[in-house]
Amino acid sequence: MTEQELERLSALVDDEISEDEIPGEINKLTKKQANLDLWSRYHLIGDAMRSELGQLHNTDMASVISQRLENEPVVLAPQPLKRAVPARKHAITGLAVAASLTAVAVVLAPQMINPGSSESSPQTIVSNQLPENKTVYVVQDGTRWELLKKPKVESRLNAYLVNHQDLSPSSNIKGIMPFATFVSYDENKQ
Amino acid sequence: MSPAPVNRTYKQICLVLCLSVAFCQPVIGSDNLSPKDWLERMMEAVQKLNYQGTFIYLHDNQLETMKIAHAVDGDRVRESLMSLNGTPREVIRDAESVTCVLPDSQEVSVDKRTPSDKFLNILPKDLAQLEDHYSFQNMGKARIANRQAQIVVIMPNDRLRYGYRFSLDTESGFPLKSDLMDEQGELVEQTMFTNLQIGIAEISELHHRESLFTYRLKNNPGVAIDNPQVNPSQWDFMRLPNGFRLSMQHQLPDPLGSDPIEQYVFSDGLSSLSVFIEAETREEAFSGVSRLGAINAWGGQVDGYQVTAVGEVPAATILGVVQGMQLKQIND
Repeated sequence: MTEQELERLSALVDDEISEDEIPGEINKLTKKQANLDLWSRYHLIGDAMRSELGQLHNTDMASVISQRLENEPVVLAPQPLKRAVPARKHAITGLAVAASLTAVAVVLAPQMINPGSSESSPQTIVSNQLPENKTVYVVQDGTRWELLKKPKVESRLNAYLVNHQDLSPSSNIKGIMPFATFVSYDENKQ
Repeated sequence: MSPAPVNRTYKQICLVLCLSVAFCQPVIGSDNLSPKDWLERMMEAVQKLNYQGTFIYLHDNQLETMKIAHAVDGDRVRESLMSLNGTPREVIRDAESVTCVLPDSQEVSVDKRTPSDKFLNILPKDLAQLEDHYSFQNMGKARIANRQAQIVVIMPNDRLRYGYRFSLDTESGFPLKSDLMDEQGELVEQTMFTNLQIGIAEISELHHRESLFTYRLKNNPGVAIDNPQVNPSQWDFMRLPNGFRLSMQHQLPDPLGSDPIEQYVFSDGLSSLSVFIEAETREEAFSGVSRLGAINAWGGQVDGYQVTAVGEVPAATILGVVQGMQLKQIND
């Protein structure tokens, strides 16, 4: 693909050519598979920059894109520009692609490190990485029992304690007062 | 509701007046009472008086206030205990059930009580039996909640059980202050009344508390536990800690599972612990040791069963019981 063709493709992706020119550009685009690949990559990069990676299934896409872009010397190392307007256009495109690499890294990295933490996170990636039925009792840290941090276990132990207290001979001496242990609150859990 | 509560209240007041007259009379010769006499008076007072009050509860360097009420209406006894700090946890107990209201965990659990009158009433007759493991002593006078009190101490003879120090109301025998001491003689738990009214008890019915979000854990009413001893024991408990004997054994329905839970209660007549045995394995099972105030607990697997032991005894006593337990060998 010539430099001029790349410029035209970039302008088409960014909707920066006149409506009259669009059918002709699309016609040329569809004639070569390489052109179509480049078209989809440009769109992918654009989506990544806008955090619209909802259709991504490959979590290793960043490295794939990175690899493919390394094979695009025109993009990463643009030739000196001949025409004023396209030159500016080309510079923007090159910058956009370079920026998009960072964007892909920024968008994907947090999801891989901490899946589900970002509201704009791509759903597909998140669901591929997290076990769905994992329940985390993060907030229920304060248990009244020493060394116990599991609410379900604590609840069962409480039930056993109540049952035991009811049969304990010391409740004969102190009435319901042994239940104070059970009724007592946890200062960390007010 | 119908006028029934009014009637009940009226009856309650009459009863309260009668009991007040009976118990508020000066005790003649209370100075000459032995420690065991005092303890018998205490048990009588705790079980038979109407009372309500507020006491301080100190454990694990944590200070709390609790409200207690004990209402006797003929044969019907209702008790309630509520924490006045933090979330309003409450336990309400009557002859049939123990209800625990725990709004913070959005839970009300209602457990049907095991008919255990024999067990509960065994103590006054058996105070003499306790002498093998405890010594009793009167330790002078005190003034608690603006009342005169007699101090009575129950000291354990070994490190397998806790010791008690009670300050008993001279008039009624009611325990105004209770100290629980661990195997090293260190205080692990203290309760002390700051305000006590004898002869009055107000406990609202549970249905007045429906503002609380409730989730009920009910025992299956069809599963009656009429005869706690009916099930032959599947377990042997060997080398029990000195003085501890199997007091009772029964099965509890498991509200969360299909297999019943076996409970074994061991006691020396005063201190006690329970061993709960579950056949079902759970995703989250208690494993290791834990402590809550003076209560120690152990959880783990024994012969493929999940075992939980809990009681107001030193950890060594709990471990001694579970270490000596094993599934009975079937020889048929």
